[in-house]
Amino acid sequence: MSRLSDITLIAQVIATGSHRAFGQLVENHQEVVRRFLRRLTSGDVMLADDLAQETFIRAWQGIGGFRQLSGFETWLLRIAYHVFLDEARKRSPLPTSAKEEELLAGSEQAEMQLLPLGGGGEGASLSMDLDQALASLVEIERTCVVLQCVEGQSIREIAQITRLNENTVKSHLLRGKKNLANYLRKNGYG
Amino acid sequence: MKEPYNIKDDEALLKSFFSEHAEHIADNGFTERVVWALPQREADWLTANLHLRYWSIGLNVAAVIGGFILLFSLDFFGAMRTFLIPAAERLLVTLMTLDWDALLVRTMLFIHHLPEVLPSPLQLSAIVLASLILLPLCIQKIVKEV
Repeated sequence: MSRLSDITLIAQVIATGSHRAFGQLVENHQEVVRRFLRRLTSGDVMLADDLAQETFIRAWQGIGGFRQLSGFETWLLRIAYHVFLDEARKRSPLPTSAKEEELLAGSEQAEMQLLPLGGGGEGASLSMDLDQALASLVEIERTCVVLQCVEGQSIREIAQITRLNENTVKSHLLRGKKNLANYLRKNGYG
Repeated sequence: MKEPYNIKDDEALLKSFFSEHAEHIADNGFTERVVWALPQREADWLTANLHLRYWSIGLNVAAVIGGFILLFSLDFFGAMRTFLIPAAERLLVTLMTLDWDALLVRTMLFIHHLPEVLPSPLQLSAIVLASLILLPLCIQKIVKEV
């Protein structure tokens, strides 16, 4: 969907509060937001759709603050990412830094253990589950890899979405893609 | 000796993997559910103050109309009967009986002698000053009579 048409719809929503215009925006961008959240939630379709709905409601309430410094889709994905983090914090009592350490420790163990997928070869590669593969990554690496490899976001856009600086994003991408590629090879893909 | 890390191999592998797992998600009523659940949005200043603009325009129009009514209401219908209707009748008769050739000549003569009949700057200033003094008095008189 063109940037010009997004801006036209956004202007209508801001000026008149048009539900029709906002509905058009939702229809144009729902696939990207829902797919992103499905990857972050490890394929939980119902949870992802609930979070996606929350994302669009927050976008509706805050659309007056959209400054066009980034694209509308990047802005939506940023909201979606923070909706996901809020949900993750609700479900986990641990502070973020401690949780990250646990996840890092877990991912190192997962890297050492090979998941049985019925042997190598072509059959194994086709049955390789996307979410299972992504689950081998730490949350921030998974986020960065999904945003780049699935949603085609640039490093700058990923930095805007995750509110990290670009060098940190590059670092997460390098590590995440390496870990994912190693996981795929160890489980017979490629 | 450990082989150097070749990122291109990983890029190609991941590209192939994600390409195979590309996912299309149909709307299936998602948009409808979102729009249905939208809360009342706090109106921004423009939307919240549109009614003030309408009120402002309405009051201005009412003031203009009220001003005209005020000026003529003293004896609006009387003024119509005494001045406007006879004046319109006279104008119509004049136009029907007008000597257009004579009017053209008179107009050309007027323009030719215009510099002689225009007031001097001093006279003009006096006329403007007198108008500024007299106009409020006239309005005051009208208001009192109302």
